[in-house]
Amino acid sequence: MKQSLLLLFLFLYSVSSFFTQELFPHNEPASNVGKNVLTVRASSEEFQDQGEIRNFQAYRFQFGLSANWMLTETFSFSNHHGSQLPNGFILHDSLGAPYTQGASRGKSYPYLFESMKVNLKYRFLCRDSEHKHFRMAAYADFSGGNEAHAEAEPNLTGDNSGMGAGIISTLLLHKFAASLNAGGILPADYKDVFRGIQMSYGKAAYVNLSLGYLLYPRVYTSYKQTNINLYAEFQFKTYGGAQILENGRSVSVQDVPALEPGSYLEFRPSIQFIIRSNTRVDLSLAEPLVNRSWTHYYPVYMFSIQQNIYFRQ
Amino acid sequence: MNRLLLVIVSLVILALPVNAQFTSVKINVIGLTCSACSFGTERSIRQLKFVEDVKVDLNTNIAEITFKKGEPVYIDQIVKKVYDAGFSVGKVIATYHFTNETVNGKSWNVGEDTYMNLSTNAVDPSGDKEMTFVADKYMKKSDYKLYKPQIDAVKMMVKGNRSGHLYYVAM
Repeated sequence: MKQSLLLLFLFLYSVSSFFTQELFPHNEPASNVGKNVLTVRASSEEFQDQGEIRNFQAYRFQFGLSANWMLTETFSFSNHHGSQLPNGFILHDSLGAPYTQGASRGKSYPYLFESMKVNLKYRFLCRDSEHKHFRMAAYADFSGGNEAHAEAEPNLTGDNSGMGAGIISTLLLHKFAASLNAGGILPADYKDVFRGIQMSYGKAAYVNLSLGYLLYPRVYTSYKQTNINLYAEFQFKTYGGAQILENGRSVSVQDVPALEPGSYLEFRPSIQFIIRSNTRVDLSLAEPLVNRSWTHYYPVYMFSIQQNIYFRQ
Repeated sequence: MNRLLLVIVSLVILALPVNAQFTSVKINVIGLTCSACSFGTERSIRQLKFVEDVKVDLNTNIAEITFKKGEPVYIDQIVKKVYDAGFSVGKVIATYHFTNETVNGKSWNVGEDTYMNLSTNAVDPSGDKEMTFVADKYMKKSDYKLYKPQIDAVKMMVKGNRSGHLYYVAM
């Protein structure tokens, strides 16, 4: 932990001598897209799960309702889970008592539609000045999906149905910018009426810190210059354990870290290309700094492409 | 018949709004650093039908806007477009072309609207003159604070029903 804080401090210090950008690949800034602007993003994440390539794809549509209100819809697809918890997820001891050892790793799943998430964000504070601003926004997430997530950690972009909310503060100060996104997740239960299984996921709280800087160009000459931005994002999450019932009987969790309460800090460095000031390409990966997430293996490779579409009023 | 046509044409001409003769405007857009943000702001301003061209200095974020000849120009719509794009306005400097306006002390009328110069300089109503708009959303808050007592004093004096706008400028 001390080492990661030191790394964080060194990074903050090093970026303080450069211009920074707030088009963070993994976290929204407090700023919104402009009124009547639609951004369309396709993103993909890959990691290896004991020889099995896990892929997640999301298609995100963001629309500026006004300068202060923004609506985002994300549709996601993956081969992370089945539509039901796998056979053998719940076992029975010699007395018939249910227990679980979690979902077996490396299992092959079909590619399925995961979920639709709706996010509504309101920018409630905007203090703009020459090459700097401080902005704050509040948001709410609502997600509905059809996959059977087999880990305690909730995630509203894909894995779980449920809702969440948070607050974002973004500071841009001449040569230094940072964004803090703090929120919580209330996941909905998974229910398999046919097999009498009910699984409750852990409630979660998270704090994400995002930093970035403009590598190129040093001086702007035209919109046609490709901008290269570097980002460092730190994602801290803590969540409760999963509770599973089979026909009303509590299922004991036998030493399964993926189903137990947990917390972790993840580092997500990214490189971003902004082409003709309108098309955005992000390449990034995720590595754990403290503990780990049990919803994915490391490293996670991520790619996204985004385009802005401007509508007339 | 011809006389009726003449009357109708005259009425239409009289009913046309009289617009201030702005030839160009420079707007300092604040709260942004990236070229994608400037691009979005420029696209937003270009949607206005009276805008001929927009040139943005990406390092200073000053947008120079020129207007189509003969089209009425609405500075407030340009300012709104900047806010709609998600940013703020630090300064609005417009170039005004004077054509026979009668200046009454520090102010002059254009149609129903009144323009009032808050600076100590006298208004020379000839040719092109630059003026900085003085209003809450048209300049940095710290700059507006300097003019606020003067504006409050003017408001006390010109109380009453007004159909047009009263624009404060510094020239």
